[in-house]
Amino acid sequence: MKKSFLEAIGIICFSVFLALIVNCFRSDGLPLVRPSSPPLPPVVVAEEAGEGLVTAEYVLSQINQPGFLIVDARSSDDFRQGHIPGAINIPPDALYDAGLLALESISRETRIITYCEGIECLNAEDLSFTLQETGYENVRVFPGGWEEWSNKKLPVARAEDESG
Amino acid sequence: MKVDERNLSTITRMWTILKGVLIHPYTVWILRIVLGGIFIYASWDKLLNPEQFARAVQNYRILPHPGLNIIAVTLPWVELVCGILLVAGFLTRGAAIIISGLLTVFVLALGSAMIRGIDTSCGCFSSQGTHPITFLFLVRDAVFLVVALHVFFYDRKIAGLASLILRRTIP
Repeated sequence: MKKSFLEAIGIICFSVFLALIVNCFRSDGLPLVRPSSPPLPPVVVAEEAGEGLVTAEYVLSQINQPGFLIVDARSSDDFRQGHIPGAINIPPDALYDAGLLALESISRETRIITYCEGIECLNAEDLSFTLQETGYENVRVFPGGWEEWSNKKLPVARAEDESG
Repeated sequence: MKVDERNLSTITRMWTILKGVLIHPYTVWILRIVLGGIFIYASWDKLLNPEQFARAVQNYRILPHPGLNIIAVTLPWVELVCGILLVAGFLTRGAAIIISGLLTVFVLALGSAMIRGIDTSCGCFSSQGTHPITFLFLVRDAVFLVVALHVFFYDRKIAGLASLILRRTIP
């Protein structure tokens, strides 16, 4: 057993050495310490929108950025058919149990953007209030929601592709 | 009562046969080659696209931001070297331990992402995957983990590089 662990350590050392050498010489090699992301832009409020609201372009710029979380407040079925990439789903009927439980591991400093079907739905705002009551201070609403996002033909993630 | 004893005896006999097949050197040899091949294949796209793999790792929201690149640079090489060693039959127990460790981490990471409802591609075989993670990914990695442990405990290095070089089968 001890011999096997020594083998494992040797293999890891050799692999890491090889990786570092190759990374050094390849043109698309990465810096070993990932530079921190450019400072996050302040929450841009659309001129036509009010306080605490963000535009589709702003949401697009924040997809998969560290420190940001997009929350889809539509039904699970709608979410499965298509949603903003990187978003998590907290449907209205699961808000007070499974939904908030899912957010437990998310830091309170995380900037959260909520959205629902479109300008007329209220679920994103309701979710935003609930999250603020729970302790999340940086919560904004994307009022255009799914309707604006799909009309602008912005990137879409589909849970239906899961079968692959 | 006699019927129960007969059933028990049949089950015991079947288990003995099944165990004999599972730990047969040639079965373990096939599993080892397949597992090695899978890891070579899994490493390839990540080796070619380290930046995209770093983003795939980032999406799991587990590692601190500065540590993403070192993982994206080294992990595919560890997978590749272990895969080659398993196929070649050289240092197989060491490679199987590492692969078991990696698969344990993968299972935990996938499970954690699913529990947190993170919508991300697996990043398992391709750094540019578009398929969100599902329970099946978890099951698949768990099966690979069992195979890796099986190889670790029962591999006899038949038809391996070591035995060819040393011209003997290592017990």
